[in-house]
Amino acid sequence: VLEYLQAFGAGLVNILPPARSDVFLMMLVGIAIGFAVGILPGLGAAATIALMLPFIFTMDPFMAFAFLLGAKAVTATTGDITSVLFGVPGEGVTAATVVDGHPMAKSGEAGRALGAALMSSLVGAIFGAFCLALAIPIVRPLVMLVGAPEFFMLALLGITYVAALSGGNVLKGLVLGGFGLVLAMVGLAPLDSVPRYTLDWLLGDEAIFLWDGISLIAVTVGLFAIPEIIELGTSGTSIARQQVGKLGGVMEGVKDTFRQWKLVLSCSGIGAYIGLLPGLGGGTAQWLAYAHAVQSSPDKERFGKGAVEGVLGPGAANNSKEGGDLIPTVAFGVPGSVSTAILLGAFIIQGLVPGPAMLDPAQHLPLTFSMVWIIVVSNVITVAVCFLFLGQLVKITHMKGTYLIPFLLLLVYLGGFTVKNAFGDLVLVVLFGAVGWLMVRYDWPRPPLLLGLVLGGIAEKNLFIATGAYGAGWLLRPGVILLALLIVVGIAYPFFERWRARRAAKPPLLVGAAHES
Amino acid sequence: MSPSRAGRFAFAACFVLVFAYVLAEAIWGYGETFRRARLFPLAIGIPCLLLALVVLGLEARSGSAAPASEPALAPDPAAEPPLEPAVARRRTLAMWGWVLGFFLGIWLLGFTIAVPVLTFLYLKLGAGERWVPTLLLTVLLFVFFYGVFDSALRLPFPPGVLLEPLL
Repeated sequence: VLEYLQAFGAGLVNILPPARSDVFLMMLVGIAIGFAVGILPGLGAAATIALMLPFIFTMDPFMAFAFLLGAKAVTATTGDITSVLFGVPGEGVTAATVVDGHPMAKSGEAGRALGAALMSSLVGAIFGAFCLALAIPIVRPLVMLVGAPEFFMLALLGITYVAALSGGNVLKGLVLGGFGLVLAMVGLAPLDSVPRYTLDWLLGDEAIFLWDGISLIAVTVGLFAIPEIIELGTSGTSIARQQVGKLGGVMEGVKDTFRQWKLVLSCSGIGAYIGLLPGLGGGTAQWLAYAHAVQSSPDKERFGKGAVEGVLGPGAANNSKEGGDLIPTVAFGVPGSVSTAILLGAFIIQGLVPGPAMLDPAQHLPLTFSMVWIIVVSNVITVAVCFLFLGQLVKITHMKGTYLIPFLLLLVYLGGFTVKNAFGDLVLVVLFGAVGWLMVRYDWPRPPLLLGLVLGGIAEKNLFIATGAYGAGWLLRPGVILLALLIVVGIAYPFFERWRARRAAKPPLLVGAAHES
Repeated sequence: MSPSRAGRFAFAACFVLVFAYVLAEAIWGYGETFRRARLFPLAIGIPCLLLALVVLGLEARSGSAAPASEPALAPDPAAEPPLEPAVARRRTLAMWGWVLGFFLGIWLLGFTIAVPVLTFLYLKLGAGERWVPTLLLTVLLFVFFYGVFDSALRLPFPPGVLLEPLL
């Protein structure tokens, strides 16, 4: 234990001045890059780390990880800013923040939403980092608990909960979850590499563009940002329709984080655990946390209209997963997400082998613990800088809408284009913009579609592995049965709630009817 | 603009068609040869088609007024009064025109030219802004785009289909 504590302390000493001013400076550079990347839609953490990798050849391991992790750790934090202010997710992992964060900005609560997003992000990041620290000795049994059948059921569970709880209509939510899964099927089939649903009969040679699948960013900005831009242009107002005390709103958001401490901690736990499971990543963590926030609230009708819990949950989860997804990377060399897969390249460049050596106090454990501290320190710095400039950021929502529309359209199309540098993605942005606009108009909830798209690939891969390994027998595994029961409860619960509400409303009506007769 | 019953029915019908297409391809298309590739589409497509048919039936039975699951805002006495339906319809169409206009501009001229040109056109013709804010915002947006995405990040922006033959 003493050796672990010494390594934990050494991890901190090795990233701060005066012992390592060079490491601290490199972390600041990484944070600045991550800050910008988080705010600019379409530029993800994975692409950024890939671009930064060539610069670490001449650095020592502490400098290299301060540089890379400093950038990676803050992208989700600053990605929440554009999600709240403009309804355009700065990162794929901050899309869930749009659902309630942007309606809050529209109702003049941008400061509160940003305060809540940033503070919950900080709490989540610290939680995730310490999960990484604590999990190091006990990590292996946790990962081994979940096999392919349970992974498949977990994906279905996530979609069911978001579908059932994110809007008024459960059936429409489930249909859209299924539609998201269908969108994830577009492209080359994972096992046979045969093109599926690429509309070759309609698009001819252009269909090759769809072989690569449908871009999540293009769908996200189309679904959420285009309807907002149309509404902003149609109303002729600013994003925020009401004036409120801006800084007071920020502090209210900070207080919300501590008022809802149980929610923030449970969503941080969800994020860290999802991060720990290889392949699920932040895209999943934020939506499961959102579903948990809705499910645990007594007043579900507020969600999607500006409920602060809908900001706190995803904000905490998408940062706590940063610590969680480093656990399998460091311990087993199994990356938890795309960006940690690229980060694995940094281990190779630095001559480090993930596994026991990274967990050995006599070898690289201080470096592993320095990763914990980098996540904590970089998020503290980022949130402090954000709070300093929050007043100016909130003012943007009070600007005349017509001034913002060209800027928003530029961000939307850049966000769509920069993922693959393909004009085809701009077509997808417009197409899903129209779909999103119709969904708002005809009362269809949008979040289940996105979750289906995020989880589709994972669900298909695990269904195939489960069927190949166990035949139909995987359906009888205890974990699968438990998750199936949770799915049934998730679907039945809104119907039960509605039935209970109708029953509660009946007696007064009957009394009234008796009086009339 | 209140959503019409026919519109809501047609939108719900689109999902039935999508799932029917997914199943048809999985059964008679690629799925005939590549049986492993159709496992997931069948597992998802069949229950989703049934659900979509139920939703379609419910949409056919329901009236034209439906409670919104994602209403923009709760009614607020301090908020601006709602727009006349005809004005809202005209402005919505105009905004869709600009959304498509930006897309076409970027496709035809490329980002570098389309960004300042369309920003200027939108602010002057679409929003009816005065000259000073129009020119100022056009320059600012171009500097932001060119400085960050083109110069600093060096993202590759193709010239657009109209200008490609000239370069």
